[in-house]
Amino acid sequence: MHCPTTTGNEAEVLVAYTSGTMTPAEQEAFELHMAGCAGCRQLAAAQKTVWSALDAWTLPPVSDEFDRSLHARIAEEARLPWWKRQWGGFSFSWKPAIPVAVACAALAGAFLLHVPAIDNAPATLPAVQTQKIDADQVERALDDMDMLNQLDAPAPAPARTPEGS
Amino acid sequence: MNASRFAAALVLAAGSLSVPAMAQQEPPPPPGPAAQREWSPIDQLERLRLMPPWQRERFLDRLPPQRRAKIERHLQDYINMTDEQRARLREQYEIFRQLPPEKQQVFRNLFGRFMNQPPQRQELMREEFQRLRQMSPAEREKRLDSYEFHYRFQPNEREILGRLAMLLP
Repeated sequence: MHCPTTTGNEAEVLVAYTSGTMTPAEQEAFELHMAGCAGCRQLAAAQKTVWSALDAWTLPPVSDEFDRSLHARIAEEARLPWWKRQWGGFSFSWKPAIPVAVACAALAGAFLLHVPAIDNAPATLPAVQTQKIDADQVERALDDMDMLNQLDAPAPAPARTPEGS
Repeated sequence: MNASRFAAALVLAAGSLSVPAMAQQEPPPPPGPAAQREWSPIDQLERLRLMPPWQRERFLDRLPPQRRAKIERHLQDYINMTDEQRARLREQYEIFRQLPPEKQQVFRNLFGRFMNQPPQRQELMREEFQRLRQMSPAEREKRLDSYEFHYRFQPNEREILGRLAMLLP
């Protein structure tokens, strides 16, 4: 028999061995293997300890009060109108709200990424609009406006003559 | 199961709400032939001014470095102006654009000659040019023939001023 720890099925083999679900031939082969494999012996011992602990654990008995309150609640539900019974199936819990919040945050993030930042622009200009801007025309306009601005510029204040001169 | 259905419904609802919101951010579709019209140079300049810096950068990135530097410098001057200054300049430019292309070129050549004058002379000429532009055609003609005008300016300066003032009333 190949060592279960090397074949990767040690969990199945150990659980089957401890729970006694192996066939007699499988059990005999595994016990023969364990005689020469310290690793499997240790694992089997640990697994048996867990099973023994579970066997020793006794569940506390369910109180009569639990049954009474459960039946009373079922009867109360049955008295509710149908639409309330439908709604009664839904109970709010924070647990499902977390993935909803994450999904909404993801949507909001995608929305913000989709819309580029607006910087004093009255409306967002699509990227394609830069293609409609002709660099030659813009350059000529800027040159002409610079020329007109220089002719229109107010004259600088005259240099003051030093007092007494 | 109910909770997961509720979550899925909420996500779908959020998605359906965000889609029209995205659509609102998109500019309206072109209204028709008017949208096909070419933008005037001043429209293009205004769009450059108003667009976000990253978009302006994208436009400038297409230009060779030397040309980009010049356009960027002039554009920055334009952006830095007050609204009032920009409005006045746009008005001046629109008047200039009304001139036939050959007259626009004559004006540019005259401006080149003006720029070749010494700075002190340029100041005097600029003042005179602004004064001439305030005048009616008759007053301007009278001023150009006046003794004072002849006394203050050299023949070359008089020619530049006279022709500039006639071209850009």
